[in-house]
Amino acid sequence: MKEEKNKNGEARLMKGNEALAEAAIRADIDAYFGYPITPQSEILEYLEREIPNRHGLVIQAESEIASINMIYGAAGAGARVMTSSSSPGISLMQEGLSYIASAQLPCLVVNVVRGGPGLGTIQPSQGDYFQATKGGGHGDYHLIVLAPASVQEMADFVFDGFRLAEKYRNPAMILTDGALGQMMEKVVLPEEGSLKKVEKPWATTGKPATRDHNIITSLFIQPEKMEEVNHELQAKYKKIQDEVRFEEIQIKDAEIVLVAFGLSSRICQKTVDLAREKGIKVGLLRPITLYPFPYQRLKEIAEQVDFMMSVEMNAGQMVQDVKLAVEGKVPVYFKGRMGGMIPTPEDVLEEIESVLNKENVLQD
Amino acid sequence: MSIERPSTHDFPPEAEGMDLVYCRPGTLTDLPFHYCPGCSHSVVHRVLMEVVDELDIQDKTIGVAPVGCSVFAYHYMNVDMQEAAHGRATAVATGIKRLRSELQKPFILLTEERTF
Repeated sequence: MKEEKNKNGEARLMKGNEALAEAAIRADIDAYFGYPITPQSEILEYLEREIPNRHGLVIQAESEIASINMIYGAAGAGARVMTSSSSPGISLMQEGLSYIASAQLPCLVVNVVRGGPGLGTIQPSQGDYFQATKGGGHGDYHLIVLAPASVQEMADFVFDGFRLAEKYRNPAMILTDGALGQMMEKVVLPEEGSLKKVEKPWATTGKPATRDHNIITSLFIQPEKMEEVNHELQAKYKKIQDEVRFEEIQIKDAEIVLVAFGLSSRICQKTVDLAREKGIKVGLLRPITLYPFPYQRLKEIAEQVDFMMSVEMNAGQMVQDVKLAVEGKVPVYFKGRMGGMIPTPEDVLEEIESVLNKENVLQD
Repeated sequence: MSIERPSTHDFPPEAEGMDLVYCRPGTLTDLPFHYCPGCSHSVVHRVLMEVVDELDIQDKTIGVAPVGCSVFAYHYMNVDMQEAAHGRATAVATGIKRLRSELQKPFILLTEERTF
């Protein structure tokens, strides 16, 4: 296959995990500390294969807990670092993430979600939405969460994730799933070296005579100080709301709006087409940032629709945020599959039609 | 036999002209230790900082503080330091040290993991 180079980089047919890994190298990461787990081991494997020929450091840690603490250490020392895992491993990292958020360190964590709970299955799922957006670790903190819906976005969001993490000194997460990690699509990779390095005067790089010693800590034992730190974090999260991103598909004249992220949004795109063929005016709002969540836009859309439906591969998680957003203005329904099963576009359309039929029955 | 007077310490006027044979290492901050009398924390802090002074590696040293009585080690040691979670100091230190090796700067790490 002939590869084409264009202004932004090369076009390749790649697996999601590998596109993400390649984007990480192009983002000039200083280090990747990770641990294998299906369905994301390819990220570690790709980096172990490629990094020795390119630049950076890759280490397979002894566990996910070790990985996240290595991330903490390296991020505190001023490095651009990434780790990745899947649901059970991400659960292990929660303490570390709380520490990283409290110490205000930038880093990127990739969660290639698999069916759960527990050891679960290796099939894709969206069951970690709560954990990612409501804080899986202890305390009042948030991760900046990006949800790719294509292999292209698996690559692009590495750059976006680092940019946001370093801008706000906060951990960022790419919340994806096993299908996006494994599937192959065309991707135009970002240009190597185009993500500028950021000055980090707070980092522990070795104390020169010219400054005081830097301390990276999440320990603030005096409650007055701890409260102060919390105010600082909350002010930061308020600013982060400006970074909200979403995609709208056929919203303009929609009477019914589906809300879906990641893989579910790909399925809903097809549902929108199928519904429109039948004359049902369905649109789709795809949140791209899950934190910050597009509450404001959903509130606006609620003014024009009959009802909304959240479509997710879980027992109903983002639907709660959709309900919060519309503030009771319109009914919000839910369609989901759990345990690693993926709904089909026809399944979602059927659900829309059954809601419409029930509504007609009620109006009699 | 006299040793160099650290620039961070103030010496009383009576000490003028005397040979300095021993003093608190320069890289220990002025903060009085809170450790219990007889506890080895104080001794180890001093010895570690004496080594940093002797080898002149203050700008090449990054410390990792554990959880426990010495959780505030960074208030006593005048080097860049990070606070680690309980039991994770080795991992935190690995994250710092392996990184530095890649950037070709010899960094020496101090880890005091005394809670296990």
